[in-house]
Amino acid sequence: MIIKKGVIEVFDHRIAFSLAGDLELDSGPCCIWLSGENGVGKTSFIEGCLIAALQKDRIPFIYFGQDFQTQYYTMQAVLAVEGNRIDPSDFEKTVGMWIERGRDARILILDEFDKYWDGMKRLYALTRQFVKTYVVVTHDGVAGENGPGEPFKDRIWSFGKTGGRGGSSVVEVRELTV
Amino acid sequence: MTVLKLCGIGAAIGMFFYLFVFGPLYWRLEVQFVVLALVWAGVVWRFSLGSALAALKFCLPFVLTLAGIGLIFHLTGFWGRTDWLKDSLVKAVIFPSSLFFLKWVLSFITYLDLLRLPIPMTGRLDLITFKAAMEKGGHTLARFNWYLSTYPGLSEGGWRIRFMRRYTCLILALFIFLYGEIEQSKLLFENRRKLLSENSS
Repeated sequence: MIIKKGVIEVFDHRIAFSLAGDLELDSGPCCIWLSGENGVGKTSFIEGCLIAALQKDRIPFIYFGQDFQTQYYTMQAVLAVEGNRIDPSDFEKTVGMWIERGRDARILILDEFDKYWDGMKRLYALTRQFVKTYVVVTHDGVAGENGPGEPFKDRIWSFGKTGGRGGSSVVEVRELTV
Repeated sequence: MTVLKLCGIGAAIGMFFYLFVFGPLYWRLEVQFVVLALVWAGVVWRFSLGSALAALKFCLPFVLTLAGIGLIFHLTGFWGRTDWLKDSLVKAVIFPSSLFFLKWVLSFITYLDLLRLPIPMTGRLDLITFKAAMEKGGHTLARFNWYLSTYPGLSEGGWRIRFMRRYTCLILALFIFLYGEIEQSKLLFENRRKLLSENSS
């Protein structure tokens, strides 16, 4: 799946993304790190562009959002409706059940999930059998030891504010060489 | 003053339901449409157009279901009645109208009003906790809806199955959220109150 070079406007988030080049996903095992200062628009990009494109192309994915505490309620509801016995206080088990439910996923998107999950290595171990691409936003340091390791190649998408246009802010997105 | 204000709000709610929901103006469809338009304008003025549209979007499935069931009953002459269509249309208008009216009128009750009520502190804390949870729930509903739209399994099958599954999960998520929020907020308030009492004594 390719997100084509150009300008993408995300009206809900009042932001436009200017892609310096095509951004390719799902081309081979990799871990894509979204890098940029707080508030630049990484989450808006994930929700407004990336997830929209994945849904359009019907590519299965799992997303753990930045407001995971809010998302957790919806996960509990879905698991309960599907007949699972859940214990809301057992966070790890519920997340484990959610991952098991989403084993068709090829892409796992983690937006600051390290705030909620202690030990990202365990999460990578749980999912590396079926996930082909990780998309990660973290303040813990980009790439290297913090990632899933081989065979997932590290890539970095950098976000930087370039200005505003008609009430929306414009953010440039470019892939950096690692 | 606070008691007067709350009594006034209670009386307004009572009068609305007496006149338009259970009373003399129930069958007057043209009146119900006017009331809906006025209440809708009130919500837009008090909150915002975005908030009013979100509330309307929330009501829409229930309204369409009511209208749909009414149409089916009308076409089949269920129970020999011939007024199903009108009855369902009235209900389909009253439902959002009463919901918007309650949202609008209850928004005039502030936290200070609840604090000033001449009832025991535990009662005041319960009301404050409930109001806080309801307000937070309103904002969170849109977010729940968005997350549910991204989950596989919920977007499979025919539109009726997708609709039922998604709204069941939405209502359940909201219920779990409100239950948890009310518990947490209550614990927090009681803890703060205890701390303030200990410090002041």
